Amino acid sequence: MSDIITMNGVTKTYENGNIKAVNGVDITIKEGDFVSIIGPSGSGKSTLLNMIGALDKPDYGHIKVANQDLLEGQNLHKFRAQKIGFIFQLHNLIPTLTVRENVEIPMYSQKINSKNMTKRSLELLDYMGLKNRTDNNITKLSGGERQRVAIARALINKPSIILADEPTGSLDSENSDKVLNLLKKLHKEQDVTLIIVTHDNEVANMAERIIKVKDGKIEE
Amino acid sequence: MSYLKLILKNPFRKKFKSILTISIITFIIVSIIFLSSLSASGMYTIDKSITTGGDFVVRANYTLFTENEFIFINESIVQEIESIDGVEKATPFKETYPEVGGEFYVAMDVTPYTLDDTGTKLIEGKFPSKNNEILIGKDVVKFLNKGIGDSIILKNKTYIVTGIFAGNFLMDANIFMLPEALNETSNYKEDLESIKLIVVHISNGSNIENIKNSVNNLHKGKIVAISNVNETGEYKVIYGLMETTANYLSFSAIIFGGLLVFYVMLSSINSRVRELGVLKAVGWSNKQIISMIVGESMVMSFMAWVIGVIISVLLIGYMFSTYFYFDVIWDIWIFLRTLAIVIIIGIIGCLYPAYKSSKISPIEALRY
Ligand SMILES: Nc1ncnc2c1ncn2[C@@H]1O[C@H](COP(=O)(O)OP(=O)(O)OP(=O)(O)O)[C@@H](O)[C@H]1O
Ligand SMILES: [Mg+2]
Repeated sequence: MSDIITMNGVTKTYENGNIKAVNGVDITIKEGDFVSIIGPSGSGKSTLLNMIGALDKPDYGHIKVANQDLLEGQNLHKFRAQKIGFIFQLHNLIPTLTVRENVEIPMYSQKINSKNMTKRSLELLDYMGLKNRTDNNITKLSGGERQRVAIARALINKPSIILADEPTGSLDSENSDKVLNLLKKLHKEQDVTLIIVTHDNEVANMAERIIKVKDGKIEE
Repeated sequence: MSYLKLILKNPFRKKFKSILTISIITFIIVSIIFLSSLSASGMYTIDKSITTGGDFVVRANYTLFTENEFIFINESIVQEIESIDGVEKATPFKETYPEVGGEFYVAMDVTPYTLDDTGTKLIEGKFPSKNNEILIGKDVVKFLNKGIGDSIILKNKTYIVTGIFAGNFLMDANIFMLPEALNETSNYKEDLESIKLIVVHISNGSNIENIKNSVNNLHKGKIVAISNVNETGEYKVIYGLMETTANYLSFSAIIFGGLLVFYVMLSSINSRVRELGVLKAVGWSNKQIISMIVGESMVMSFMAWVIGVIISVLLIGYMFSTYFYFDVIWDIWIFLRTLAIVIIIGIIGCLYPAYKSSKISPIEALRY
């Protein structure tokens, strides 16, 4: 398998360089890998993930993801829409929309008509075991269900990489297991590259590869 | 779900604020349409009636006159007008202003031969044959709730209604009586001796503007020839004032409505920072975010317009015929002008909020 992510000497600082959130990181991740990033709070895990997803830019260094040089900065929204699926600790769903409408949100940046949108979102929700919740309002769902909707939203544009930042951080253990099993299943069946940020060893150990981060540096 | 539906849903998250904003803009839009239409319809209706039964009318120029100078318009002026080239006939009318039930009415001297010159027709009953008999206009029937055979007291004398006339907006609220009756009713010298209205007919093929000019030149502008509403002082002032008010309203609507929408949109995006960040994280471009905010702002102001137009149409349709007796003029420009106003309101309201939301950094927003 070829490399889907390469980072060379990536550094990100805050407060005029006083805080080195990420400090000279080199990583390569292969296409189809399931990687976990683990480390204490404040070690720079989220910053790393956000840079992979082109939400943030490094001060120094070089990042290439899915054959796109992220420093060039052009059309990064297109890159995010097509290549990346984000899952956050909080589901960040839109409360006034239904389950299906929330899942469809990323498709507005693609050229898809609303009929195909519906078809695709219904298929996906079915796959995620949310078939009978599609027209419910988000507020009617349990925490675990919401997170599954958020995962469906991340998958809807068929991204090559799923970036999950503590996806189970706000769930109880039962719902955590469900979400993690779902992510594992997705990785197996859909062939996506999956990167999970966590500070839970148990979660980290599910991955094929564990990257340990401390003080902005990698200690693999 | 279509993109439009998404945009339609958003403004109503803060129902109270959006509905209040839409109601206020609707109210202003209704006022503008109502006033402008009132002005247009009033001008149109009066314009249609202003020449009564002739080609033009001659009146004192009220703006130049002091009270006792009215006496100045007398039979000799009628003859002067009739001797102008192209004038076929000039019919003089006197007026007096009796009070009935607290309101002043215009009573005119009309004979069976001069009825046509008033621009009206007898629609019921017969012409008075005695001095204690009168005709009343169809609006008087409504105001006083009187009909044929009823009696009306004018200046302490009792008159019997023998007929009802209609056909001219400016005459339909008047009372017609025989010339001798008018002399008996009136106790003012001015009413008895001065002529208030001269209805002029011109011969075929003669130039009305030339004839009007000759009339206007007769007495240094003290009498004026009028064939359209713009040549009258008073109506032009009233309806001009309405038009001006409508213009001021339009201007305030833009400022006030724009600020309101601006406030609502700004507070809306401030409460949605996180959500806007998520949209960016899932791949929305700044252009899409901006068009959503612009869309939401437009939806609010456009809804105010649609509701405003519906309310105005119903209100105008009902009130103009019921209270003003006007022919309703539906002027497309009045509606287009208010459409332009709401578009400007929508744009003013969304410019800064749209700019601000495009500047939101997704990571900052997600930390929010
Ligand atoms: N916008 C910012 N301004 C200043 N400092 C920041 C900013 N963003 C991150 N940092 C700092 O950078 C460091 C790394 O932050 P990051 O969020 O990547 O850590 P993390 O490993 O994800 O922590 P956690 O497990 O708590 O989520 C922290 O010290 C944090 O305080
Ligand atoms: Mg983090």
